[in-house]
Amino acid sequence: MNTQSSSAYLDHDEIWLLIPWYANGSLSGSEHDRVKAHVQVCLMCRREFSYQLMLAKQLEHTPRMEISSKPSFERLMSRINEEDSPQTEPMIKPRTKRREQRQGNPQGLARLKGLLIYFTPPKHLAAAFATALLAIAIVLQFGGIPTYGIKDYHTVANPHELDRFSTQDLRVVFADQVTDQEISALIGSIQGRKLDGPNRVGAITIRIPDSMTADQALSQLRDSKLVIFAEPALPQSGKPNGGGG
Amino acid sequence: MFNRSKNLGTRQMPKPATSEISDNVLIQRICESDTEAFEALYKRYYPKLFQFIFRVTRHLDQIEEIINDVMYVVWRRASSFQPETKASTWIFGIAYKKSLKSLSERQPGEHLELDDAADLIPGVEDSGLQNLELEDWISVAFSKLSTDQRAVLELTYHQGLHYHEIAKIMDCPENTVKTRMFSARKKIKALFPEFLPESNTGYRGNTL
Repeated sequence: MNTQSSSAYLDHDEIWLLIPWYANGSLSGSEHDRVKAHVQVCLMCRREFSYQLMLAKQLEHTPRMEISSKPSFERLMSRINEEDSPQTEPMIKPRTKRREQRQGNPQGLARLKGLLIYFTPPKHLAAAFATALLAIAIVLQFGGIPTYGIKDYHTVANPHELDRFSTQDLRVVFADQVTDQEISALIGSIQGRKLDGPNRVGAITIRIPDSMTADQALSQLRDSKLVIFAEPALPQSGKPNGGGG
Repeated sequence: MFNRSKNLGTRQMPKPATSEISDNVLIQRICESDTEAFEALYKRYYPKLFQFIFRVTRHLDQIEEIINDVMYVVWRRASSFQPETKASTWIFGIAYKKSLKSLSERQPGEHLELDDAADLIPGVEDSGLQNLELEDWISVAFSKLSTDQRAVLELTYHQGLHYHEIAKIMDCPENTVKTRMFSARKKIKALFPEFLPESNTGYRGNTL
């Protein structure tokens, strides 16, 4: 046994602790060289290194998901702008606010919706998501549960503008990465035209021709990966008659 | 330390694309209240923080709130950032503290599991949530580890950091990081002995 390999054995306990960082490639210089020399002569450490490499491989794996940070960023900027604005009401301590949100207010739901958008579920489920969230929001608003911060809850449509729209009008929210050209092409594919928007939550109103039903157009839009949300501009019940535009 | 100023829109030089700009330069621009730089840094760190906070807290419903708490500190305290420190160390350090704070404030049983989300929102089981929580076998192992051990594993193997940097993030001695990792390795090995190589065939002497 030469001197180098015998000294390499002496470091065993110390080297054992360093193996994860040898496996992740972050060691450098003499530290790296010492571990490398030891692993070459120590069977236990060599096996441990193999094990750690496998563990690293598993941990490195992240489920591939389309990430949309934009809604979260916008919420953060609203918070910052609100605090910086001189007209704002006295600031509620974040901790208190957080506790209030946990009691089930719509802002918390908006956040959950944002989280689900982050995970980009299949498009045909978007309407079901939206309906479920709307139902929860209604229960929370009218069910006697405190509704702190209700003024901050954004709906896709503005109820004061509903009389402007017809049954041939659709509200659509596109994914963040979609370009104007792609939006134009998609609107063209349903022979529609942009009527309005994007509004403050990014919804665009599209008017489709009489030759196409809203259901057909919605189905086509929801099949597209570029669309996060597509719904009639008017509520399904109480549609005005003769507003086919 | 950077100086914060309110120098908005007065730059003469053409700006490079934000994706090419280093973290430190972005933070310097954040000191000048540059929201474009802030958005670029936010986008860059959002997935990393999402992964890290999920691993540490294991609570899906609080992740965005914690990310925004972290980035709020970045915006407000950009001028206190020490340029000789790595930006990622600073940001992950804030994220670690915020994650611990969130865990300490949480009431027992206050937890949105994937199963609950599936009851509330039809179709959620088809989304990426399941990949992250259920199909990811390592989640099982992580559930048996302490918060500190999970953080060390995540920062080592997913973020690829040196133990020296992890010690800074977790604000503890380097030996504590090594000990936490040692304990985590023992637990994982006890849970998944089948991953133990039968021989040294996995090792390639020239890999590193």
